Amino acid sequence: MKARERIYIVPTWAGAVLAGAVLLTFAAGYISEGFGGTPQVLVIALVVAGIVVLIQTNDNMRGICLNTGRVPPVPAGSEAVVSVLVTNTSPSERLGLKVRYREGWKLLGEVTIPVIEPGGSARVELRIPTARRGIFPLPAIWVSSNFPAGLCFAWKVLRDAGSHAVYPRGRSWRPLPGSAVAVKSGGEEIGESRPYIPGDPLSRVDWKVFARTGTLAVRTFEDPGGRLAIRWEDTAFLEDAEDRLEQLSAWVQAAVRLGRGFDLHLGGAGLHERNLDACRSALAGWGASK
Amino acid sequence: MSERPGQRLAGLLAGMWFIVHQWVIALPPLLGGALGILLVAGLVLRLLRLLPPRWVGWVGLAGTLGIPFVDGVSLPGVFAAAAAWVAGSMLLQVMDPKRVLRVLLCAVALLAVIALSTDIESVVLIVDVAILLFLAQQAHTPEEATQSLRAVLLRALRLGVPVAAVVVPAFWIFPALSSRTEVAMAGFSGELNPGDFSEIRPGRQLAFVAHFAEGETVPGVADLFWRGSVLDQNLGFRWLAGPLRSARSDFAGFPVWQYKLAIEPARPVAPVGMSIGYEGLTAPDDERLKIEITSFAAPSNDPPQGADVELPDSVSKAAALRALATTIFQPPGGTRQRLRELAEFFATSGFTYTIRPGRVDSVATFLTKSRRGFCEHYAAASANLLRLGGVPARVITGYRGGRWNPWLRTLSVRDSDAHAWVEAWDPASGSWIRFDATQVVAPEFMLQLETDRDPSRWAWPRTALTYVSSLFVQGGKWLAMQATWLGVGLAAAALAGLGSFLWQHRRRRDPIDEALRALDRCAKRMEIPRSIGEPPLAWTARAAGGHPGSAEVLTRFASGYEAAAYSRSGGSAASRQRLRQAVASLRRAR
Repeated sequence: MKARERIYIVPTWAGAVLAGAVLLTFAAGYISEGFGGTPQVLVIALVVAGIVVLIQTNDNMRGICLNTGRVPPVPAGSEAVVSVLVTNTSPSERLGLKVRYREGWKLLGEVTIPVIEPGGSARVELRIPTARRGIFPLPAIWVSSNFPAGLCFAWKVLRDAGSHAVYPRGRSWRPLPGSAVAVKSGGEEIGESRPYIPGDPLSRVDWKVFARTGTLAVRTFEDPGGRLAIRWEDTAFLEDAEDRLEQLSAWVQAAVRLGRGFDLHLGGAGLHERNLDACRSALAGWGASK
Repeated sequence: MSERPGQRLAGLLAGMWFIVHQWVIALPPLLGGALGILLVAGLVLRLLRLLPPRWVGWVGLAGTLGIPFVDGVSLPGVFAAAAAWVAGSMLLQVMDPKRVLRVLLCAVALLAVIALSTDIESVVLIVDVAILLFLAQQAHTPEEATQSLRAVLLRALRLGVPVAAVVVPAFWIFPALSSRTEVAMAGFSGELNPGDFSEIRPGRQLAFVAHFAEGETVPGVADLFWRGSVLDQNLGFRWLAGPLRSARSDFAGFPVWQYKLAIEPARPVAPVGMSIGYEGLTAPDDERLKIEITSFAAPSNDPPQGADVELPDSVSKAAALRALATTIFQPPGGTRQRLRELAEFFATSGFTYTIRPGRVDSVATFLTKSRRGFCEHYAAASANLLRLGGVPARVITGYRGGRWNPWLRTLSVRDSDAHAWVEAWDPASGSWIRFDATQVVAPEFMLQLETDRDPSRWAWPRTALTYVSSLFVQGGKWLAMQATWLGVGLAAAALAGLGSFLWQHRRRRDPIDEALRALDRCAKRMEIPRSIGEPPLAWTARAAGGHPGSAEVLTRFASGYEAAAYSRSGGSAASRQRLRQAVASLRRAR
């Protein structure tokens, strides 16, 4: 059995004014001519037109599905980008759709999709401003339309669409532990090179080797201690927890910039650098589960 | 948004306003003309894709607020004019879907006024609603989805077909839609024919306004019969006017009323006068007719003529009617006795007043079977019965009552006040005696008239509204006296401003565009099409190679174009002149 779609519909201000005008015309017609007069013909025509517009506006929303993709963690203060896929699963076109997202009653943004063909889809990007770190639920995402006549406003809403992580913006009091030599020497003098493997970051390409040999090679680092360990305990020189998180975030960014492998220890199991998003999400959600 | 819905909308509104102004509501020519200019200007500006400054819209709004001050505009007139003003003002601005909807709502208001004020064909209303729906849909359709005509038509059908599927059956349910000929709007008529209609509708249109002079006594409710046509040609239920009667000239000793009558120009209806048999005045189609009348409460004393006793065969040979007349009128008896007996008959025989009596095709059917009807039924039946009883009688059509405004001292008479009654000749007094059978059957009308005349018995909203409207009208009159020349000056200034605006924003032809268009036409003629993105100079070089005969012209064009289009300051006057000459020669090139 097909699941029932939840479509909400209300008259727009124009629809409400038209309804008032119809009522007035009906009353004036009834007072002056009783039932069955010419004004009532107008009333019937307008009422039927209004009902048809109501149904058509509702129909224009049928078969519309909203899906959100994974939202990459972003530093506090920048915009989280939510990719929303609007799919038309109905056998007819859908016109004049608007994707809106709002927090409470505050409209954060709106993207217009002029037309989606039957079976087609449109991808829109919603940009959510962030101010502080944390794991936040995605705002309610609406897809709405007042097509065909602007008299009714119909919408579907996607709630609980997931969450997005906002990790602390990096602020550094001290350099990355265990990277002083590498940082001082730029990394390339003590490191060795290995052949380039597709997927290696370009920032690690050893261009001097490339200039000499014509083949791509990437720098490797010889860390006496193996991988860098970025630990919560190393930020004990700071008192405030948020400051410590910002310091950790700065170190993570420095390690990424330097191309150093690292493990992040926030009191639990270490998070490997290949799970960079997991590290950032952990920084974003620190303290939330405690 | 595309400009097209705005242009169509402007055209539709201008047309609707023309209909309203021409056939529905009479407005003073200045106001009607100003509105027409506003709407037509909106249409022209939309076609030229020009936008006037915002203050023009505000002036339009101020005009809307001033409409109630215009004397003689009825409530529907104010409403329609306000809707037209607002719509016209908005048409002068950038059209977006929201603004299109606002204009469409104004159009709906105009449509409602048309429906309320006239007997317009229902199909016209429904077609209008369909057009408004289509325009609303066009305004809300994204431009990206309007590339295929087929898609546009299919979408329009998707909206229109369900509306038609419901509204068309409604045509058959409401008798007003399927049997138009049997329904009539109430109003003054120069003849009587109640058998033709199954129903009448009380129209609210203003017929005329009587202004009573300060200090003059206003006639009492019982005397408020506005006399129109005298109908003495009896065809049973149908009564026609005979030759013009002479009015009496000896009025000494009778009450006198002085009043001014303003006949509205909506239609040439109202040859009316109060209590005198005065006929023949009709308002011209396009202007108001104001007349000053001295009216006397003297009964008519023109002697009865042969026509005043004639009976058609359908009445004189109807056994049932003869028997009825014998039953009603007990011999012997004078006219007054006959009238008392007739009043008693109508009061006690189960007659009902209704505006929907159904089709009643003869006097006999009305008096013996249906016994339901409106004033025309009762007037025709009374006159026939009186003539059967040997009393000369005639039917009078006109108006009864009127809406009293104690502050303006006016009686506003509307179509719904149209009435028909009877006059019977009394040989004893040598005069015609008025007899109104409708008043006997429906005494509540008399009570209503008495209530209307006495402001202390009005509900407070009516008192307040009447007082406020009086203030507006008085203020309007004062303004009209003060500001006639000011108005003319303002209108002239507005016209001059509009003209200046249009002149400043006239479409200036860009010589480069002209040159490119000429180039493309030339390319078509030479059958060397210019490919998309091909620079004009590259094309001229290519075309000169293909058409050596035109090489000189093309080279001259290229140098002229280069000088005009790529020079730093946009080309000097000399280079533009050179370009124009080059374009002219290019036009001649083959």
